[in-house]
Amino acid sequence: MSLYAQHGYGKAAKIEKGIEKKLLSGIILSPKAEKPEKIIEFIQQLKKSHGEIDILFDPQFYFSAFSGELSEGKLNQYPYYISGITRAKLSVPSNIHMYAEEVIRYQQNLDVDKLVSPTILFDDFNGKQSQIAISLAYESISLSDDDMLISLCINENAFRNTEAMNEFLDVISLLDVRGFYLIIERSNNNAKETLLDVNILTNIMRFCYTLATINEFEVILGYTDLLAIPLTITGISATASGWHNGMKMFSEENFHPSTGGRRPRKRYTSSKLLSSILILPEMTTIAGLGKLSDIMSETEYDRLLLPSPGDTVWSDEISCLHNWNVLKDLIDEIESYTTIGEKLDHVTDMILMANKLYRILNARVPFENKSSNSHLNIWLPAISEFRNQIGE
Amino acid sequence: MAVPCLKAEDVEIIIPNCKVLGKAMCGGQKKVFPCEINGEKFALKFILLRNLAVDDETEEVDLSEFEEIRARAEREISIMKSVSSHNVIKIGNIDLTGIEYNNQNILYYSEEWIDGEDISTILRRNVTMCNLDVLHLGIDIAKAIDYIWETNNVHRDIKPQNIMKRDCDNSFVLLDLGMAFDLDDKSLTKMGFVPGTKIYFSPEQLDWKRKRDIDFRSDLFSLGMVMYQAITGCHPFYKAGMYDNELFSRIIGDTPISPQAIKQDISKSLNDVIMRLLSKAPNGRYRKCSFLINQLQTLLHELEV
Repeated sequence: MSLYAQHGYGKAAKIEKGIEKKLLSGIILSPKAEKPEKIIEFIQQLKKSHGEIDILFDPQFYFSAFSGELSEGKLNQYPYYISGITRAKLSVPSNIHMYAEEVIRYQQNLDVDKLVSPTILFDDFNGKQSQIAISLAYESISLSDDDMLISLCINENAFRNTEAMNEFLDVISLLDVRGFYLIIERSNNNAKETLLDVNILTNIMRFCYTLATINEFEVILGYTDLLAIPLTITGISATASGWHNGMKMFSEENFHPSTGGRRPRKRYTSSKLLSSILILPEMTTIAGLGKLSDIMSETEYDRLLLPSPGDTVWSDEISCLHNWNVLKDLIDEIESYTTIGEKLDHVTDMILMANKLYRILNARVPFENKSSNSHLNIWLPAISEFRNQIGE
Repeated sequence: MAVPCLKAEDVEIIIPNCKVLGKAMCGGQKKVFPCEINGEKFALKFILLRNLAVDDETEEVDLSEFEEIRARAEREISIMKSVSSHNVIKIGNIDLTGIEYNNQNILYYSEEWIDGEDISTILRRNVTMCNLDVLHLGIDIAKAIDYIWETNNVHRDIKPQNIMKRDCDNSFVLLDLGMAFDLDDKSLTKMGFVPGTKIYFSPEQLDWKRKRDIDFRSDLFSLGMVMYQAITGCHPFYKAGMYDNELFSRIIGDTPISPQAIKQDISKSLNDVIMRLLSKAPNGRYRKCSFLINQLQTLLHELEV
């Protein structure tokens, strides 16, 4: 399994550095963040300097069907993009064909490795929106023989309905395509990105496993970050993460105009805690306890935080490269096991170790909610239930 | 459903250049005569469309039933003509023909003659089949399912009686496309009636609301049951004397004991393939027959080496 960069605003040299350091195997481009000519230039540049990199262009068509006041970014400069597509328009088959055609034709003129079909967000596998998403997939497939990924943008709550999910899987597993680009939409953009309901996480694992392992599709998970740890077990091909919270977790709310607020506080991704913690005060408190080495991830960036994390300039770029480095190391570690049973065992052990470390630290470190181990207490039963379901 | 009342002499009158070679067999709604036409062997199949003698005594006749029988026969012939595979039964030299004979409306046609035995006969004699034979069975019938699916059809009645092993090359051939379902065409079955042989139904065949959603993966489930039975000697869900309700509930909800737990000399890989074919959800089986065929061919190669 590989790690991809989830492209967004403010890329600077992060992606090139991530590729040079062999942390990234691909990139998922965001037209919202870049003008069309800049995207073309960036693709050409990447092709020239890093030909081995898998380049995908997420058309972000789902954005067209979002309602309310939107922060469209550069999307309205793209010829296929239509602002404010209503449900009524999406109900007309000829419109579906036209939307798919515009998106596919645009990508055929880009030097990308695979085409990504347009989709819309849905929150119910039985709902009208999911049927429109399937129609967009069928139309896209009919338009091109090129390698294609069907994109799906699904709200987390859809995964509560196991029966409906299964019926949806019955349909999409028959699509004659290379694979899927999957985005899980989170209902609350302030939520902890790693925290999902047990039933939802189990079903997302089952969904990915059915597509990737059972049906042998290439499955690329966008906007995933540390949630990639339990999902790596399922046999997916790649997971993507970026530098801002909005690239680590997908939420429709992130596409509405920002209400302002302060810059996010600096965080450190710990492979030992399977979590990201605040540098101030959490990491500095841990340093004061003489426990820093217990939680550090052993990346080349760790030395910048020594001896005193609070005195360090932990730039966005360093933070991003460190985060990718941790994700890559964790993914590689899980992937070093051959069977799914071994992977399940290993991830379970990793979580138990992280929980043990949290127990030691909890009494003396004031972890805020986003830094706590609450997600691990969801991952464990979800992994266990997933294991039962697949009979491992 | 009755079969036509015909003897060998009747057949030779109906088709003058035909010589009946043996006893007639009755299967489903058909009476089948082994015969020779112009020096070549065929299976000559007769279907009773309407018994006019009985109709005379009835006040009202439901013609839709006869139309359905005719449409089903036409569909069967059409699929046989469109599928060109060594693993699917072929149409013979007589196309679908209708006649009135001895107060009976009859349809008939010929199919290629296969020298061999059907799987149910083999299993009645030997109880089980060896790993190698089951692998060949799986590969050949998966190919047949694939060919039928290429024409947008689903067989829907895969069972031991409908699979023959040829004497000449030990290959397996899928018979009786009479229950096949064309996904693009109108449904030939009445609301709520589920066609096929019930002990080899797939879970989705039992859900009549999803009838039109059925695809080739339903046939893969039935193939899984046949392979399971062929290798273990037991049906995965059915026990003698079981009521329909219990059988259907087991097909829909129960995971059968793995073949390896019944017979230890079954390879784990073959065991896993069979169990995967028996997944309750179609998405848990194989999305392409070629994936199954490749996996079985790899196992076959390993076993032969």
